[in-house]
Amino acid sequence: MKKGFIFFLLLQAAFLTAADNYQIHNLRFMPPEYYVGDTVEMSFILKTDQVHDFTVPEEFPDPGWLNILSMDIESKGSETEVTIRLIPYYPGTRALPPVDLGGLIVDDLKIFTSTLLNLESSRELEGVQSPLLIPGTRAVGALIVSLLLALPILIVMVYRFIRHRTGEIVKTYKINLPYRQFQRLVRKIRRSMVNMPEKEFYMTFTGGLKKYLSTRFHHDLSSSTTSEIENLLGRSRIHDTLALSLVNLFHRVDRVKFAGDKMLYSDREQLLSEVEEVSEALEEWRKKHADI
Amino acid sequence: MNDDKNLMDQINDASTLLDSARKEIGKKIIGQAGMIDGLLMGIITGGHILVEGVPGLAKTQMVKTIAEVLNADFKRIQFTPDLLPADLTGTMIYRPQTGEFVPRKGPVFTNVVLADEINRAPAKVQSALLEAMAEGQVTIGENTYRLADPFFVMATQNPIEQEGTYQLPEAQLDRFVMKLKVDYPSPQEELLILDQVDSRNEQVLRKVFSKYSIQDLKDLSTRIRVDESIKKYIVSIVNASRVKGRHQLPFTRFIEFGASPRASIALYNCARVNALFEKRDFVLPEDVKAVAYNVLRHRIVLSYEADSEELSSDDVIKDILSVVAVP
Repeated sequence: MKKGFIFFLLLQAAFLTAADNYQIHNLRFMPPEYYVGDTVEMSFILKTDQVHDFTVPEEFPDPGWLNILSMDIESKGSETEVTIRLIPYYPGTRALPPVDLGGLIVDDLKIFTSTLLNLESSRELEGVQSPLLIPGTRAVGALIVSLLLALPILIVMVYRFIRHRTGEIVKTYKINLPYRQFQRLVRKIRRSMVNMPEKEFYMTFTGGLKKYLSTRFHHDLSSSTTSEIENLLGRSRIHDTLALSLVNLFHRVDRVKFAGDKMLYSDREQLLSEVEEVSEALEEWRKKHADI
Repeated sequence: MNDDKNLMDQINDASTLLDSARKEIGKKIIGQAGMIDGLLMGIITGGHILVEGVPGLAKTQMVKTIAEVLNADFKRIQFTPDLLPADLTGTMIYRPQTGEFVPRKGPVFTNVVLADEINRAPAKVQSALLEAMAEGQVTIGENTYRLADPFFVMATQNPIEQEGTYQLPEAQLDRFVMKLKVDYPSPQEELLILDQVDSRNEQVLRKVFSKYSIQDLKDLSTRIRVDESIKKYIVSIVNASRVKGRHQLPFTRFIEFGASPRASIALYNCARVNALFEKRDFVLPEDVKAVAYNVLRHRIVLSYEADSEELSSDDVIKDILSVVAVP
């Protein structure tokens, strides 16, 4: 309806210009529908009876409700194509101010500017306002939105990574914990073995060693005898020499605990040194064979 | 190291002697090493053995052979439902010539008694045997007679035929130092048995114990050192079987009644003999564990829950041993 009305007006304008020895044809607007503040490219074909040397005016008219940005004139034989780039600031149908094209004044050009506002509202002129979005705002916005959308995924990925790394650290810590505890026990025994009764020394020693080996062979050795420990070590894949060293330690201690054999202070020291060596060798072996 | 060289020498001599005995027994009995050791252990500890096994596993032959090797008298009593206590212990018989009653001693007056299928006799007969086993004496009429020394009873039970049997009371079962389970021989052992079918009865056994009495072995076993921690370990094992109602251990619901202090004594004595078998002058936790099943098997009364879950005493003992800390 609105377009039809525009078309009718344009036909009227074209008819009237014919009386002033020029005719306007093919009046086009890009974009076809435009709003207040939009840049519009208006082009038309100007036909005249006489030959004119059309020129672009040095100064564009400034009616206040309109801002003419540029003007192009292109001759095409008997026809001339005029292109005017403008920004309207007033809604509705309004006539452009007369435009002097150098010998010919075109004064009946009308434009219809659409508006988002209610037509019945105030038609007071508003001052030119800065655009809502600065150039590149959309790209930045899109980037921000993308980031916001990707944020949960990033958080999950970072969380997983941190959890994995933390898990590995905790796992390593826990795996090495029994060995560290056993080392601490050996140091503690070494510090206090001067005043420690023989029985207590050997009970503490074997208790600690059994506890440590239990964690390494995933089998509770607290209720295991030396023979059972020997069988367990035999079934495991540890080196025979290492297994034999461990079993010998137990056998020697058994003789003290149950046969009443006496051992010198130096023997205790030697036993602790040996167990340190054997446990260190066992840890080395375990690191090489993680599936102990 | 242990300075008691004399004791170690004696232990080595005893070990040699026991090896000889095993070798002699092996001439007639193929395999069954565990049972042979169990019987020898029972004899050395002065206890009595209950053997559970299906017929035809050479139980009688084994006891006969051991008695022969030990240079001991042997008698077999077939327990039947109509057996009377007097058939076992003896009775007073009237002598018309003198007009007085004289004691006639029963078959228990021997060194080695095989009480075959003991659960086929009624409770009164079992009680008569119980007195003989526990006291080492028998009362006939007004007189009490000491039994032979050594006196060793090996009673057998058939686990598959329960009809017409009299379940042995727990009090009597407790008198047996060990309960052994006899299993079928392996195919290889059975082949050897077939190879010896014709020559087995011709085998002449050497009386190994002619110079070295059983009492000496008993005395020697009592000299084997048992550390305080081993004693505590034994008590812990037996005590763990009496935790019904405490619910802190998973197996307690399977035990109706735990083992008595007799079990502790039996574990103590048998562990010492086991150390002797292993040529050691001291007891290790291994010795206790080695004899634990045989000693406790018949002393732990299982609950109906154990029966419903088809658990045996051995399963419960295994659980007990797995929770009691080894010193």
